[in-house]
Amino acid sequence: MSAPDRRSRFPASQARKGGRSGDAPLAIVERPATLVQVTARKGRQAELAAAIGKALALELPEAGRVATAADKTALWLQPGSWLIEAPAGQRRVLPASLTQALNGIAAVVDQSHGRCIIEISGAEARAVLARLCRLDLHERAFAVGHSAATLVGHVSCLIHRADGETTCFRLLVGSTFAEWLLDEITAAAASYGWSFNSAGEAAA
Amino acid sequence: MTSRRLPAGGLIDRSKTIRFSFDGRELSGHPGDTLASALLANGVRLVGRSFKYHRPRGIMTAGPDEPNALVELREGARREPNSKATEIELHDGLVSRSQNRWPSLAFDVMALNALAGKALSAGFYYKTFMWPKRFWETLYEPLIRRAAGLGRAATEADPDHYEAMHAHCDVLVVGSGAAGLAATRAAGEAGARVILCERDALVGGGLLICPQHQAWHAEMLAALKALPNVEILPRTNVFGYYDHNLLGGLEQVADHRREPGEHEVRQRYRTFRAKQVVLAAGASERLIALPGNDRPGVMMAGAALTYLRRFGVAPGENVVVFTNNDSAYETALALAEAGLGQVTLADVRPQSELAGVVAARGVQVRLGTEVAGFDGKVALLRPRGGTLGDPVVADLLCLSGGWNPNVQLASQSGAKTRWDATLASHVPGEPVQGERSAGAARGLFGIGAAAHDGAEAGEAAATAAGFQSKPGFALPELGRSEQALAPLWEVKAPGKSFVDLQHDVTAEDIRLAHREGYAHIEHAKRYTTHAMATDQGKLGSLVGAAILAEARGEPVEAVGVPTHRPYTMPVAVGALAGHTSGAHFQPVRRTALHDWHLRNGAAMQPTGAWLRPFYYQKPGETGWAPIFREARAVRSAVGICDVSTLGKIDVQGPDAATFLDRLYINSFSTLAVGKCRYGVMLREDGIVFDDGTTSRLGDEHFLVTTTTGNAAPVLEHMEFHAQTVWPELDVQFCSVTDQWAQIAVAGPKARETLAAAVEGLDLSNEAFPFMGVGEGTIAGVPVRLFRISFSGELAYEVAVPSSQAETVWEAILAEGKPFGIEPYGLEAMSLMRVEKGHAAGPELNGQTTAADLGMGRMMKKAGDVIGRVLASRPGLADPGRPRLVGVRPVDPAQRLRGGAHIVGEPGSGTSLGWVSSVTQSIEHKCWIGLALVENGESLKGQRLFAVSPLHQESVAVTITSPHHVDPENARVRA
Repeated sequence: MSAPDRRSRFPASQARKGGRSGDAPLAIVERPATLVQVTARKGRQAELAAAIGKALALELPEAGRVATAADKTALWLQPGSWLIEAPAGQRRVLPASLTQALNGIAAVVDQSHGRCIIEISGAEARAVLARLCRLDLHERAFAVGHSAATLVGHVSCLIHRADGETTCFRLLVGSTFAEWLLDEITAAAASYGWSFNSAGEAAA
Repeated sequence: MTSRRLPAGGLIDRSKTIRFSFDGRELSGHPGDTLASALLANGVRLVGRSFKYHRPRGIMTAGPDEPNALVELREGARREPNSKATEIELHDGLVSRSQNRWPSLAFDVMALNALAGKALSAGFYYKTFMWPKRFWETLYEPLIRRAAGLGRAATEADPDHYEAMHAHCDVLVVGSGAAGLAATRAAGEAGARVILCERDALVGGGLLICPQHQAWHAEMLAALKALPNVEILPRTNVFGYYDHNLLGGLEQVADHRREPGEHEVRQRYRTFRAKQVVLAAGASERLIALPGNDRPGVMMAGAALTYLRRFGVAPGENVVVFTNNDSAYETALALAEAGLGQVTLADVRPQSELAGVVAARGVQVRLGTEVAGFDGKVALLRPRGGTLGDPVVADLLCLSGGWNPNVQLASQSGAKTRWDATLASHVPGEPVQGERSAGAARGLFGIGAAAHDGAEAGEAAATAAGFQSKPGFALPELGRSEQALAPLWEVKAPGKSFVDLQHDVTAEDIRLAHREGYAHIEHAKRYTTHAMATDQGKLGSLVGAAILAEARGEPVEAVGVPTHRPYTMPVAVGALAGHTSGAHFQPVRRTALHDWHLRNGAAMQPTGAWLRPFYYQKPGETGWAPIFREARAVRSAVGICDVSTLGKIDVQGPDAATFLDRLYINSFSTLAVGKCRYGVMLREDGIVFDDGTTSRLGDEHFLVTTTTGNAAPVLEHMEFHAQTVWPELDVQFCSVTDQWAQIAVAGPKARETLAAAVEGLDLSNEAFPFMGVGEGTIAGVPVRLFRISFSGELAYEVAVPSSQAETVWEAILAEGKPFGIEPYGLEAMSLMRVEKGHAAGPELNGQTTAADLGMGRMMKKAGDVIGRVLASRPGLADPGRPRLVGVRPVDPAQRLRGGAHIVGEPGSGTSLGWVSSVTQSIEHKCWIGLALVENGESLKGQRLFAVSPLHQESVAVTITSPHHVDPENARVRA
């Protein structure tokens, strides 16, 4: 027997839209993912980078950056530590395969359920974040591929700018803070209007 | 009252009428008016009473320096006292009331204070209401407060919303006059990200009253609008300049409307982090101290010009303009050209280049002349320094004592101000942060000079921020150079000459302060309350300083002015709190089962950031009923509880065991894989820091659990030691608190319940004994099981990937149904942990050692441990210290109270300890408690007393083992 993979951190009763009905509402989307934290054993960082390159064809980025290749993204967390993001369908597979591939090189910890990814996009995305976060997120200062660990809506987040035509930021937040953060984002976006899509469920 | 609106002119929309009220009178104005201009247009001359003497006052200025025209704006929950009429944009339905008058503005009984003026001098309150002491709170203070209060604050909760917004830019420009506009354009065209803040609703500053520069003004605005890298924020006052070029501002988003629109904030608190700042905040006209300079009908000359040109309002008919500088000539000329009545210009200077020009247009010019008094109808003119005056009929007296550059922000930034003898004022000194002042803000007057200076400042700021290009736009021509002013602070003549109108401080008060020893400007300020009102002494601060300087026999520059501190204008606390109020006050953390708890009747309780089920109330249950029901289910059958809030830290690496051995007083290197162990860690000073179970998942892999409250501090503690104390250890760790939801299943039927739910793990006592750790699946979800107990019953905790928590929880509930499974909350858990005698928050209180809590023998014999050395200090090793014991009332009907003192005899003043936790025991059917009692171990079985003087209670208690239930610990091993 296998239970459906409930991927959303949000109750089904969560409102789907709100705020003023304007021309440029903020689109808020919960993105389910597989998230695996890899932390190099002492002095094994180069080996870790090589092993990740081999296993996932992914380059581990420097501090304050993210790197993407195909369906995987690596986000720098702290010295010697990265978060590997992959599609949600790999939750049962990736942590185990990385544990095997990185045996003796890095500590591998599944965080797929420990972090929630909230993506916000729209013409006013930066203006909404300016109400929640003290960093300069202008494209001149925070380009695609840049990331920062900071407070957004008073809670710790890893934020990075996603590629695309419309301005889009992705926020990784501790999953127990996800509902709080969504409340903060929708309140900050009230004067523009907003819509929300939760991750819902998927078969395991 | 006759209309004072001129037939034409002004930046107002005469095609629309706005209705508003003042003191209950229905009046009207036009869009573009301020409340002050509309009141003047309606002929309202008296707008308030002064603070101390209750003297009648009129509108004095046209801006934030207004000392008199303070009103209560709006009604009910939106009532806002001390609002400056000069700063309120007129809107339809505006309701305003004058302040500080009783029973009415025209007749005010407190005005009698003015007759007793001599008695109410500086320091009066300090001197008079000293005796008898008990009268202060009961009589003097309430009386003074009623007499001296400004407006009344609203007593209801503020219905409006506020928010904060954080901006970054290369160049921040403060003020949008000619200098600010030119600076913005210069920096913007160079490519810099520029933010321009303007306090006013309209962008333009002094350009708004210079019709001859209208075309340039319009061209500048159009050019700025076309620059995508330039943001203009009107209605935004920059109120503070802090370190690292951080500035604070307040944007009045909806104050110009009756109430904010849907989803609109009233005010927005703004922060600006700017690489460079251009301060172009202009200058403020200063007062001249002379008898009657506070009478209705006295107005600053620049303000009079503003009312004429911007609002199309005649501030008076027969006017005396009293000046020591050139700027007021324009006011005199404009008044004369409006063709109202006789305009007389009194200039203290013996000569003036402009005298002929204005005389030719009908202004009567009197050089070398001063105004020695004004009573609202007649001004007394006399030769400078003379004694005899001749009366001139005037309903308006315009004053100009020169202009003070607005140096407040530059001064706040750390730049010392410099005395400029030509202006007889302070100008900004050498910058210490990335800022520069431009235009009138640094003493360069006239549109042309300000524009040229602003363009240069904007270009320099952009260059300093890394952008280079020459400004290529046209600037207004430089005007004629002005004739020097003649410094003039006071015209000495009998009567009250005010230096601070809002706080009713006179020139004589300053001299009195000096005579009484308050000769330093900061002392004189506090003694007299000079420049401490809501207008912050913008009009008269320097005048007071000059009078103090004269008393001291020193030049003004030797006296200085009080330090400039934020805020440059008053800011409502609501705006600073922003969005962070009510439900948004602090972050809320929800477990993965939160929604289930809500759906199933849980009363939620904040514990730190978390919300946790307190209990699950069923219909008809009151008081302790749900708690007893839940605890009984656990003690007699099975219960299920969400314990996800416990901190969980994944620790890996070859040195993981060594790392934990050094953190905990007991060993983890000896722990077998697949087992868990209870551990205690100390602070460096030997006091207990935290406790919890740690499991060994592999040779080099542990899972540490912490108490809910210490999850983050324990992780920090680990980071600190791994990074700085033992960098040689090869250990990696991270929080997995949010990854795993954790579910406790406790009670005699826990095994049977879980055995039915779990696949892939043998739960028999032999295969999975107490403190075992294993893996299996529940409802197809991979889970980790721990056989640990907090309740004291046979119990397990199930860790499940948090997204799947509800699936697993429901599956266990279903299997437990035949046994009568009940979800239980924090209160039942707490009841059972007190019964079991587990130490928790009230015992782990930052004062107790491991020995105090009966865990002294856990300290391993060998190897260093954080806290070992300092735990052996005599004071901490003293066997007489308060020890953890149990307490039970001798009479089972009596209740115990947490916090009660344990004493030997009723009435004894010697406390032996205190009751730390209490509950009503379901096993003992009476109140029980945990206590920390001196020599507690040796007192077991003895009768002592728990006294609570607060409740006037004294309860005879028996000292027992802390383990009220199952002291042999047999149940957990069943």
